Amino acid sequence: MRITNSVLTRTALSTIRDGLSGLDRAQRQLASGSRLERPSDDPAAAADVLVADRRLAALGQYQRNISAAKSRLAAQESVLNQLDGILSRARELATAQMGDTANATTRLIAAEEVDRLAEAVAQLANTRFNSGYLFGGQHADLPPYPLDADRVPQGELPIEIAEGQQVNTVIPADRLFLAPGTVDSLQRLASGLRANDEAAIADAARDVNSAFNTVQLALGETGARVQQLELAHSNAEALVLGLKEHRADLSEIDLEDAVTQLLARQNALQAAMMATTRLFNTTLTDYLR
Amino acid sequence: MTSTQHQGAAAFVVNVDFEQGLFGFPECRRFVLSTAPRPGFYWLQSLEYPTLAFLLADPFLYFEDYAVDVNPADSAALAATDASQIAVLVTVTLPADASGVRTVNLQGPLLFNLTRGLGRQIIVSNPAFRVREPLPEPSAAAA
Repeated sequence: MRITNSVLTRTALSTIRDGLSGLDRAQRQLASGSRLERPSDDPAAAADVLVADRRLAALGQYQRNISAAKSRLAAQESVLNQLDGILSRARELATAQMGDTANATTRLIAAEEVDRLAEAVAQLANTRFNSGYLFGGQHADLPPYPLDADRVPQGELPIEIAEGQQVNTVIPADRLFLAPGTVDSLQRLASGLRANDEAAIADAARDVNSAFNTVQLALGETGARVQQLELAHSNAEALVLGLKEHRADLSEIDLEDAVTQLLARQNALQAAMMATTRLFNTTLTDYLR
Repeated sequence: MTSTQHQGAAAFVVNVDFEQGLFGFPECRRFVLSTAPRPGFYWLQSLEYPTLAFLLADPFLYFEDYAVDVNPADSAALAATDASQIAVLVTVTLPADASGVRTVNLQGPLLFNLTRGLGRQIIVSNPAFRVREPLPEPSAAAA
């Protein structure tokens, strides 16, 4: 279903508004099937401040993880786009060289170009990232191509972006270059062209095509992960902190202590959040006035 | 832009459960949604972490062409059979200082079935709706 700006589909908010103003609280609770709660009704709220503090300290780390994951995925996306271009060109060449206009000479010329495409793909498989290899998986310190059976580049390097929520950051070379035989299919295409062997060309072309499809899927997957990270980052930026903090407990402690505690808390939070979110300040209250 | 939509609207407070949490906040599942003093704005406050809250805005007041496609899995999770049962709000990111730009996240709207107390954040695939879209001056909308 599609929700747009039309009056018909804009009723959800006004319905609840009108509906709630006409109902008493008991009826409302009955209608929603759950007890109406507000944080101010909760006697444990003050203790939650400590829990929230720990949560926020963790949030700072998560934000750094999100940045790291985003840059890794951006690097991967750029490689995938180059791969996409290379494999598209290889498909074009294969198709052209299977037609009636192809002959031994045109196939020889095409073979030269496919050789260069295969070399380019092999280089992409060994793309460097930071101090390691982007597609190295668990063996990021060693080049994933050519394949060494003793250290198959697997593992998607999951990064924790929230408590209990991980996002995979990298598609290992195993899935992208080796298992689908991306480099291999190009090399076989080149030898088929050189041998002027139409059946071999067609055979290799099928594999190039399936490698191309793998890259398409990987691009979609990478895009979805980037989007997920973007939203996690944006939610953290939008987070408003401390709106109701120290509501209950401030009255119970010495004012000087409270001020000291608040300052320490503020500083700790600022460090933790690395200025990615704002602290409660006058801007916010002014804004909503 | 309709200027009367929110005028004289009654304040409300509703409990909302986000079964999957929000992106980046999977453990925040129970919230209170309440009207903010400024028309068209709402507070979404975590019940698990009462000091955490999000400021939400009604995107349709600012972006006439905004549209959200809800897939069957999401509408089912919201127990909604009709678009009129779903309210759409977006998170507002306030600038760190007064001169900064307020932005809204049109790519990750929050959907609510308020009568059932259910909420869900989804991803909108239309690239025209961006994560950090500057919010026009509130005076233009609230006037």
